[in-house]
Amino acid sequence: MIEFVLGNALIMILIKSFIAVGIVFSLPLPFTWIERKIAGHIQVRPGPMRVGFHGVLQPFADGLKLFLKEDIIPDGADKFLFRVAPYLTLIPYIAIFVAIPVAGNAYLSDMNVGVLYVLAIGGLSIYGIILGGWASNSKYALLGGLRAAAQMISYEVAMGFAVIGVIMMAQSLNMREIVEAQGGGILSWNIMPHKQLIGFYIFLVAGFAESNRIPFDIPEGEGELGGGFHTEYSGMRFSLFAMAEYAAMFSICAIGTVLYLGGWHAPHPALDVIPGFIWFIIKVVCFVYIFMWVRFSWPRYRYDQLMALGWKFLIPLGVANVLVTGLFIMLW
Amino acid sequence: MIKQFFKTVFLVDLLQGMALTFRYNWTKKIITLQYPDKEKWVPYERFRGLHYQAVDEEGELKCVACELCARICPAGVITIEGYEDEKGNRRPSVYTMDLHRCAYCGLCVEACPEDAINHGAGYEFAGFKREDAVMTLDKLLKNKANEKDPEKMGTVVSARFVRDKDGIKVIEDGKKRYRWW
Ligand code: SF4
Ligand code: SF4
Repeated sequence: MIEFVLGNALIMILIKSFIAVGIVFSLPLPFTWIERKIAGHIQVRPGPMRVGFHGVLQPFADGLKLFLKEDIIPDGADKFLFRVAPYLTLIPYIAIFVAIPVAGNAYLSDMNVGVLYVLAIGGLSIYGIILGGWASNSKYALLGGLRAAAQMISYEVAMGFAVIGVIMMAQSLNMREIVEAQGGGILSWNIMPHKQLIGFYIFLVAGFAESNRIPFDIPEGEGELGGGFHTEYSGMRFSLFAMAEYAAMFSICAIGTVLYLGGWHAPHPALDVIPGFIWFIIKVVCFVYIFMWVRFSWPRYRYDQLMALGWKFLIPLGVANVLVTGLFIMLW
Repeated sequence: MIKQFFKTVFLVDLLQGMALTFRYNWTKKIITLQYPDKEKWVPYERFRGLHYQAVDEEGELKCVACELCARICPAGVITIEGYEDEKGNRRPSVYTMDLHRCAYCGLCVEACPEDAINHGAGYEFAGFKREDAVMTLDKLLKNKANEKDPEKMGTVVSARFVRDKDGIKVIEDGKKRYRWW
């Protein structure tokens, strides 16, 4: 039986997919708690304290509450699109995890165009947000959807340019080979100044924008849009959007870890005794911490500032980064 | 000018902000109260909280049903009916305050010639029924439990959250008391 299961590629893929989807679905539970705790401590208050020890069970209470809420669909809404939009937002982020190598041998699929796949699928999730905003038949939701569309398309370009530098360094589009090219200690990670620090900076800023988080969360803009594209959503569908936001943040962090932080490699070859996937998780958690830390430190960008930053600063910088990287690779 | 330019380019101000929030994140200092579960705020001396009717040393009502409080009340909160008791004193038979309308202006307390009606320190009187906020004479006498205690004014006391058949309460357990500021 065991040999049959291990030998059968299809069953193995199914098992791996179930594990991956399970992990992605359960991640928002700890991360909402951590995020609220970090928010609290940054603002000199304790954060959730009432449910369980220091509020650890708070996400379950929140989830239960959202689950029991009435699912309201506005009268003038496009019922079908309104229903599918949350799934369209969430599913691409789950699909991204197919291509991310957690350790040398722990991945779902070893695609030789992994980076392309990740960028392409990540770009799909914007459909869910636009459709959600459009189908709600509400001006706030529509404006939120439009803003999301403009922002995500602009920053997708910048992110693409940032990633080209990494691809040139590794001479490969395969995520696993990109990580392997960064083996041998912290000095050969792509985040180092003599490698792709500029690229990492562009990737990070574009990543904030892609995952719709502060300082680029204008699609939600609760001050002026009352929640943006998910204004009209309630109950489970709303929580799917919230989950999509966490999945987006998490996938950006995982991609960033693979591309810039050396994936599963230890900071020093001597530390390789600790298994690779633990290093991967540590790096992703640090990355996520940066996302949360930024969220509670900075204000939100204005819409025109956001566009100016994307088109006038990040994209030229990305092009320059590609050219300089090419020059150095030629001269070396 | 040039310094400012480099500050902007290298995001110095943003990073300074992040250093500050990082420091806050990893220090344990907290400036909020864990109100229902662990702590409770006792208001200052001047606080105008839930009213109560005072009694004298013999346990008699101080109020003489002069209706000055009802007269001065800008919101028409107080209804009084007086009678003469066995000892020939005038006392209220009905003294009802509809606190829904009360502005907690304190004029009734100022006006009272007998120091009978008083503001206590109580602020937890949310209820499930409208009648819960209509104070009869009995309730006003019971509210004396909220009398201000000059010792405790303006402090935070440790407290306990209780939920029983009478509703929910936050009870002081007297373990700890400190000044907030
Ligand atoms: S506090 Fe003011 S409003 Fe309230 S009962 Fe007294 S006089 Fe009336
Ligand atoms: S509470 Fe004071 S002012 Fe009001 S009726 Fe009684 S004695 Fe008079």
